[in-house]
Amino acid sequence: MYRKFKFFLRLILLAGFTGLWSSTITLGYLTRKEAFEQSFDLVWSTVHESHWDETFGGLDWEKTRKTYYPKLRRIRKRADLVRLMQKMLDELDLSHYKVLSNFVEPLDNHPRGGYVGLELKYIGGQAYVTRVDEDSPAADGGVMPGWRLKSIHSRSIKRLVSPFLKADLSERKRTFYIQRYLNDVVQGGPNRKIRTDWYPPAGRALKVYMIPEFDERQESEAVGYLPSQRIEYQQTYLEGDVMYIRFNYFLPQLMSDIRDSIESASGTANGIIIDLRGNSGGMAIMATGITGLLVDEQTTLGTLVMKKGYISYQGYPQAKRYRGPVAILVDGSSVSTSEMLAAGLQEAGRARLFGEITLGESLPSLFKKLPSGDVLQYAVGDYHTPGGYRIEKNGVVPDEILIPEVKQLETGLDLPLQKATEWILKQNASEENDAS
Amino acid sequence: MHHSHWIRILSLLLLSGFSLKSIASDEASERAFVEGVLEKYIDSQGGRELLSTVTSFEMKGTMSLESQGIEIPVVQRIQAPDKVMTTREFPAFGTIREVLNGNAGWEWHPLAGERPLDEAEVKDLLKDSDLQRDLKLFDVYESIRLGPPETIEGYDTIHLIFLDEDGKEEHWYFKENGDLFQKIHTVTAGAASEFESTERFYDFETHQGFRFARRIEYINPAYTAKLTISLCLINQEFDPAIFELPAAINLEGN
Repeated sequence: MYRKFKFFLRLILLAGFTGLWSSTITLGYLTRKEAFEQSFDLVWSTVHESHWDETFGGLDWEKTRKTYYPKLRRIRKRADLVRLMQKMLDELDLSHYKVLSNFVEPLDNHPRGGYVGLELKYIGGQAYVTRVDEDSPAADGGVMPGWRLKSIHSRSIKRLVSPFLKADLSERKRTFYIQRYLNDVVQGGPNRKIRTDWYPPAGRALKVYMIPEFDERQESEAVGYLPSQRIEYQQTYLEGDVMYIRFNYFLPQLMSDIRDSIESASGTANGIIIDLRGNSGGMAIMATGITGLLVDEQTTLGTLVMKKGYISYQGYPQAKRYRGPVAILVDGSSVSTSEMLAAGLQEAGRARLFGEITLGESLPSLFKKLPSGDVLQYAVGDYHTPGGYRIEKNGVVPDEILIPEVKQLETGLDLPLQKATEWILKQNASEENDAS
Repeated sequence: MHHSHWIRILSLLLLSGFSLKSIASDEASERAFVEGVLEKYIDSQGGRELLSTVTSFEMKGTMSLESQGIEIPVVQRIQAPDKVMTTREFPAFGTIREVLNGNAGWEWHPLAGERPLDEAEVKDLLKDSDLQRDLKLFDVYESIRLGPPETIEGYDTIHLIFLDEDGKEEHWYFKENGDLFQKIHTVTAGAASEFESTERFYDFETHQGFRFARRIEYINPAYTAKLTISLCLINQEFDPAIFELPAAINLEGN
């Protein structure tokens, strides 16, 4: 008479989500030493029990424990514990193994959590504005796409990014982290005036003061240990009746907007451009829901292979779905669920990809609260597309690779967007020719 | 059957209070032993007579994913022989509803959309909807045999291995009093997905003569979930509308 409840696993898997973290120390009845030891053990054993590869990718995981455990005895501060556990996890050399804590001091004392409404792209050691949102503090301050950022609160870009330049990171990851960091810092803290200095492409350097906003309605609802995030959704029509959709996370609160947009595109849009540049991922199952709105047949995006068993990510055709051309924009900061969606639709022949190779961090993951009060994020399996392509470390390769150049950024030209629009209009033109 | 197997059976017989006189031959004795274990299992649930009268089942509870900090209220209603309705209320994104009605099933999911359940899922739910399944285990499984005994959480358990019609094994572990304590089986979750799940049953209580576990732990390759049951009723009348399926999706498009 025991009934089964079995569909939870695929529902809560996250891909790529790394957010602002808030945690309080929850040692309870444990002494600090006990909490530290138990946390260390829990991190090690969780990986030991859940890792899908018995060889741990060639790493001797037992030996790794023996290497790091003695160091625990010398640790007194929680921040040092977090660093030690993270260092042990880094030995795996895989994405989504993180100890999430706000107990490690940030790189700087810049306020965070506000919104000024601009996006920066880091290229050639400089940061350029690629987008300014309408009616935003940045727009009010006169900031324009193509401007180069000189400094924030008089701290130069070079100084701001120097910790990343010293870190042992691949070039792709370094650019990703720098870009994310600069975009985080430039948004400032709510209602705290931020001073920025800029170089417009022509003319003299300019100072712009902005007062970052905070809008509760733009914050996602926290789901368990998944903290709330500022969510952004944009839908507009471009030239030639091409629908443009952009969102920054795969979070549940955005699904109805995404669904409404795609459903409304039937009969009105000549094509859809989904902009996943800078998208940090989120709930992996949302990628299947979006796929279902774009396909006529059940479509597999990829498969998660766990220690015992596997889960296939399927998009099921929905009643109101869009059948016109679909282009997806990606770049080096398109992560995880973004990569799963882009790679799956590309391989299924349902979307054409424009932009840069993605970051290559695509392992679905879960969280676990540690006795120290920090949270472990751990991957639960390997992920590959139906064709066997492994996104992890390789990234998703666009059909049209378009590396941004400074000259383009200075003129405010969004080349991937332009190329995608042209491709969609060309698809429509050939369809019309075929019909006639 | 070699010597150690005999010792195992003998020790289990003693453990479970069965008479040694019932042993006539290796195979027959194993069968008799297994039958005895399963009969005790049926008795522990309330007895053959009660179970044979069960036509519907209702359960309400909360699934707690402690490691994720998530609690999910769940409701399941079953009308024998082939109707199941399950809802799960996820924080932040709403209710997932799954229905089986006859040989077809449907899921509505706020994030993934709506879809017909595939053949494997329907087959799985049909097993759930057969409320007399425990009374005919020898008929529904290809074979049931004795497995090596295991001590789990301090309990010396009797281990039976069930082989289903698809050639998949299930491992059931019983306590001395007949309670099912642990079950390991393969879960089918949508197209081309399967993984191993271990379920453990705790805190038994009796309602309407039916004895059930108030707490169930679900352990899969990624995490552990705990279901705490707040309501468990048998032979309730359900509104037939709850099992209605939506019209099929028009695959020809708009």
